[in-house]
Amino acid sequence: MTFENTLSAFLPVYILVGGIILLLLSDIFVKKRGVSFGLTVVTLFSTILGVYAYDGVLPGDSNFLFGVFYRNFATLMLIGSIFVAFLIYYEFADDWFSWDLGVVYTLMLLSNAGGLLVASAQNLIPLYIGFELMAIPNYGMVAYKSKERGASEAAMKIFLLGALATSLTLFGISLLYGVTGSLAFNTVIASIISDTSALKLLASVLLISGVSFKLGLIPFHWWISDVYSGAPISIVSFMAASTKVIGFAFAFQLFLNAVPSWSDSWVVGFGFLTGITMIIGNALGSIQKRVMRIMAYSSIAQAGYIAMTFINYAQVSDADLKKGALAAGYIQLLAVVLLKISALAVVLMVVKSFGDDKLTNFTGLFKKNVVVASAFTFALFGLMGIPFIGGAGFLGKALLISAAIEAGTTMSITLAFLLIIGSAISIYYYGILIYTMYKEPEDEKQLMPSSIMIFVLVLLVVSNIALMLLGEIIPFYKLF
Amino acid sequence: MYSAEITLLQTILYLPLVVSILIFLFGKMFSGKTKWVATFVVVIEFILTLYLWIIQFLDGNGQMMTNDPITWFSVQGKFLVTYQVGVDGLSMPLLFLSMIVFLASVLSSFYIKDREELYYGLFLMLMTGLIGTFVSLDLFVFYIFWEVTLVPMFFIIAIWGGPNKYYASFKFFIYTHLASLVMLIGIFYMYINGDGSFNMITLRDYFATSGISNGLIMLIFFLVFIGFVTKFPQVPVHTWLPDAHVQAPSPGSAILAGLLLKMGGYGLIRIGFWIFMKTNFFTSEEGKIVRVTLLVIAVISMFYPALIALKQQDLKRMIAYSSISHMGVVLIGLAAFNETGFIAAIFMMVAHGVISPALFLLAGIIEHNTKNHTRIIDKIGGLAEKMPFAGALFVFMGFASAGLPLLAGFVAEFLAFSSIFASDLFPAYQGLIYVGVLSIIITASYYLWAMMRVVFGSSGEELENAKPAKWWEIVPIYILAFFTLLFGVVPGLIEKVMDSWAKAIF
Repeated sequence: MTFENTLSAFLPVYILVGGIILLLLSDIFVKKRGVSFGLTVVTLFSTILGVYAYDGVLPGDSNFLFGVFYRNFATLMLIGSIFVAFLIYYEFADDWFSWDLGVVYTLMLLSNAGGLLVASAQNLIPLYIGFELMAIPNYGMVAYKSKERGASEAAMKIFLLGALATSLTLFGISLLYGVTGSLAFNTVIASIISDTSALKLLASVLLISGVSFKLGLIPFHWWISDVYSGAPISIVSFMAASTKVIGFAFAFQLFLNAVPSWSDSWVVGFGFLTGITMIIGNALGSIQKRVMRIMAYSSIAQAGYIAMTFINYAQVSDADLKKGALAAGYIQLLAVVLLKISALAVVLMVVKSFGDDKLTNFTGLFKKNVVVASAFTFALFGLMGIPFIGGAGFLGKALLISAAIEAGTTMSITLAFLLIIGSAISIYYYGILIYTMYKEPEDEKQLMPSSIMIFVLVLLVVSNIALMLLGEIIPFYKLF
Repeated sequence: MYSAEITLLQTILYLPLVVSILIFLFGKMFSGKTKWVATFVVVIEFILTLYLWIIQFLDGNGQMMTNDPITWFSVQGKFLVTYQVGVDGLSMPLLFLSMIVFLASVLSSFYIKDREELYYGLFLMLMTGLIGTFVSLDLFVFYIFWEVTLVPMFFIIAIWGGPNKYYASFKFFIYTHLASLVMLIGIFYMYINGDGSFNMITLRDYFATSGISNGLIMLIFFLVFIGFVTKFPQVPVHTWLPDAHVQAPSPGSAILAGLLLKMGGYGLIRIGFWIFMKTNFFTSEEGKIVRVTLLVIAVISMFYPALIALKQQDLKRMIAYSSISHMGVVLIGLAAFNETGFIAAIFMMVAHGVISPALFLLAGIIEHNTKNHTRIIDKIGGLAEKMPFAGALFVFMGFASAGLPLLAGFVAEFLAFSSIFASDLFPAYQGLIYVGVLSIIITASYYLWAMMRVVFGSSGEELENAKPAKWWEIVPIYILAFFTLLFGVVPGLIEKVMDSWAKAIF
């Protein structure tokens, strides 16, 4: 483990830490919002480049692996954060605290640094530390508008429940250590346990509960809708994008990379949770009145779709098919991140212009602003999974169904059918939003124009269509 | 490689999409003129399709005309999605039908003044979706086009529809989307048991020799069947259709009845039957189960909706139920599983595709000219007096729909019933078949009864201010009536390609 090796392997983390220091300094000395914003975006961009600086393990060390898994999830997380940086800049433009935008950006970069550890860890200790480093700044970001009642409430909720979830996970990890006698992935995989199946089952249950809390699978979901409706929307979009990516990276690392051999004890649990999440999540979404709550339940349901990857992955034996199952989940995650950010960006614009997220505020949006309404329509069709008009949203779902049928077990095929039923239910609540937007406007109020948001929306739509169309140029088959 | 015909086909496929995007982008600048743009595009499309027919299919050869498959994308080296378009004796008649129906609908849309640019943009987008469904030869691409048609139709019902449009548009969207996803599962079963490709021609050749089990084919068939039969639609998944038809604006109803239902029939023949034609599935025991299921569904769907149509008060609702009843004839032809049956199925789709849009457009004309914009049969008596042309056409199209000889509907029904009597299902299931044939009498009776009341009944107050129909109202119906007569008197015009296509696959 030479100095150069370590430097280039952890380069992205160093870049992030450097960016954080610069941001804090600029907060003290420059005090300009534009500078903070620019620094953040530049830092994130250079971090993406840094992710590609090193490939493989460090010599003489097996605690980190800088492979495709790391690069895919880290890149997606960072791209998500860049878009979120725009949203934060827009949302906190004219509030009393807008001068210290550096604080929220600092927390965001810190969270990203944790994500990098999660994606690269090959040992449960850095995995856990990275996950906590990712999660704790989140609580601070939710509480950023501390003078608003809803935000404080949301922060309290996410903090307490996050701590609960973490403690469950940690307890599970310690049991896992007790059973296998190791924390490194490669020895955990290799250890054969025969006489401690009760402990193994308990550890699995604890790990599943902890992870499901973080991913928001039903019945561990109820904090999500409160946080979505209470927290600032740009922070919500950070949670729906980067945090969600790392949540899944953590879950995949834990279950698919560390304890795949225990799949007999966790597949049933995940299968059950995934199934009820897809159905109940969508059903609950269709009775919501506030748009942010619809978005919350849509997030829950989408997490349910992506969580099918656990079952698809565990129930095929061929290594290539396993990679395919993971790629399917990843592409759905990628599509959801892009679509969710664009949907939340439009909700943010509407809330900022008209005051709140009631459905009536969306009436006639198409007449008021064609670009924004088109981007929203596109995002909603994508979340529904309509091909072409919805960009990559359909591709992800199709690949998930395909992987489930490839696995061919009763459970995976049942889940594929539950996915389509859930997807059909979801048409209702996404459709209501679309329907409302295309009605005749009832008032003369206009959307606040913002060139920065239009730019972000167009960028998101274009990248989503590109993802759908340029299948040959983006080599999906080399993803994992 | 790319022949001139393929380039022509690509132009037919993508021209409406390109113009639609241009209308979405710049339509505001040409407000009020977009209807002429759309009409112009549809006329060009019509001429191009006619030209394609003449250069490729005039000799009655229904062979596939296609390009070499181009790889679009693949995942993990498998999941090979190709881009291949082509037409043959199955899709060409339906492609031509699309042009007739679109020509009729675009003219009859002239009354739409509200958000004209959006309407015609969606209209042309729908056109590309439909044509794409008929010509794409890759299951994945087929599915994309199939789903793309949902979105413009949803908007057309939801924005320009009747009073209950909200309910109808969502019911339409959710029903057909759920069914298509079931079909998608069927498509993935095909892909996984195929050789890693979604290409229909590759799959067809592969299944011929792969020794795929009959039980698996039956599973696949029923999965895709659920998708297609919902679009088709047959009892018991038909309930979205009356609502969607009644609430949609008349041109929308015309496209819905004339073409969107045909997508289901086409898909069933192309994916349910054509791909597995080289295996001997349909003559095996399992194949017989499948065909008997089709027969049972067909007979129920011919009989039961015909009875419902008899008691309908709303003119559009009656025509909608008659559509379900008529599409049962297509399934009868497919259940028979012989050359005549397949020809009958395709011919029925074309015949119904020219007849029912005309009836929907007539219902639309009546609705626009009544005082309270009503379509209740009892209130709109005396059409012959007030609107003689519309009245005459209503009688003509009503008889065509009821299956009067020398009109298109008769040819199809005659072929379908002769095919089922010639099939191996006949002696065993004769009771069912007789019930199916008898349902034609009910069809005739509800049309006659409706005509009696609407056209010749005593004129009520509703039609007091009725004016003779405008040219853009009546010309589309003349176009459709012309083709109804043409296909009825000279069925050989389109039957020849179907015949050669059906001969080639048996």
